[in-house]
Amino acid sequence: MTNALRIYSIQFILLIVAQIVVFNSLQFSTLIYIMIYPLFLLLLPFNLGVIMGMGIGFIFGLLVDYFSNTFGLHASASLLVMYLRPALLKFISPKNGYDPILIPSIRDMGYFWFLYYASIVLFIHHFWFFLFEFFSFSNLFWILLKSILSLFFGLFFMVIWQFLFLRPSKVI
Amino acid sequence: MRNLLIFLNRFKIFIVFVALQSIALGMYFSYTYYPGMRFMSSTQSINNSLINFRNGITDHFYLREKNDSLMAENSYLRNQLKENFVRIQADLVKISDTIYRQNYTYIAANIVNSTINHRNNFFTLDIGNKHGIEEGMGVVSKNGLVGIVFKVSDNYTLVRSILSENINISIKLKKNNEHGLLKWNGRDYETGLFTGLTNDLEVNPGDTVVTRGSHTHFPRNYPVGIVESAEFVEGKPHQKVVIKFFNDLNTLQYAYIINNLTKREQLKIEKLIEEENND
Repeated sequence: MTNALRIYSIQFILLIVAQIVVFNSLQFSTLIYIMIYPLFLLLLPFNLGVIMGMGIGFIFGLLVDYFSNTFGLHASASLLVMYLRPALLKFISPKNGYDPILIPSIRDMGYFWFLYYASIVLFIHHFWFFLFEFFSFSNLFWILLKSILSLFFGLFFMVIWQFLFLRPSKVI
Repeated sequence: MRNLLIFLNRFKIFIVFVALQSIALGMYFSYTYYPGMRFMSSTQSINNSLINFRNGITDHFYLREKNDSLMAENSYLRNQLKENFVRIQADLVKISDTIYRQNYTYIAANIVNSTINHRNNFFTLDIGNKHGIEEGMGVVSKNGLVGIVFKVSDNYTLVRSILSENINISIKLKKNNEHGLLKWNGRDYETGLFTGLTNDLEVNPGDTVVTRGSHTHFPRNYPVGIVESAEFVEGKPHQKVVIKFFNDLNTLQYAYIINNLTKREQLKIEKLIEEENND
């Protein structure tokens, strides 16, 4: 447990710093806003309680908001994702359930499963974020396009991130 | 009472979700549309050490461009020095000038943080209260508008960029002084919208757009951009005019904050209109 706690606190700090120092300043198009911090929410354990998860998501989102002048929007999107995540995990679970030692990362669950899971969660997150940022339905196509492009770039960096900073949980 | 408890217990997850969600969205909307509240933003201290750290690294990449741009500006200003002009008639130049008085002073600042890919974008500048910056001052770069000061801390200033939804700066066409408001559609950081021009006006691509200087933020006739396209919208009384900014807001490195010396006087006398209307 202490080991898991250590891994999560390191990821927490590393991801926030990466988001603020690196990814918030990658400004090459108005269409792309790379968000890597949701990786922390994706990596949280399978059996985490919903309310606990929402609390973590909310606080984590607020921290990102504090550093990027969005005043609560990241918190809102993270909260939504953490609210829906348990149901989603149940929906896409393997036949014999999840192994409690594993966490939802590429190293533990494989490429296909992670990309499938992450793209659903991230799409909800990004779409909600940009929808409230624009707050008009006349821009719906633009919002969709921005969500999908940002998601694609975000996923790319999340995959690289996991190979750099995460080890498989099972020691054989 | 028991039923209520059972009800609450069954829906407790949903209730927590709605409560936290309304806090988050409430914060977002109140801050975006009513910026008077004090809450949290990147002008505060921890954040700035991070931003400074990043800026310390990235600053070096732009030194050359920054120097070139400053040199160009210097030479332009040097050209305007009094010493460069030959006196045609000795008696005509008056040294202690009482006809003109200075109305605007400019304070230079480095841009330490900026975004273009949000709906409402912000710049962070490295000067603040200590240097005499106040909320509501206009910010310009050497050849165009940057934004309006949104929040000030001791050493930092947060500027609401012209790439924001409700920026609403008064601008006008240079050729005939027809005025309207500057808005941004959230898509292209090089162009903005000039709203409020009626269909009977002739607007051509290439017309220069300048500030109107009406809301104490900017002086009159400060350059904004040129008209890129103007078209009529079916069934609407106003044309859709797109303007191209003179400055590239993505690569901007420094800016000038404008201090309007007669701002209080103007606001005070304009307040009389409100009082008149209330009576």
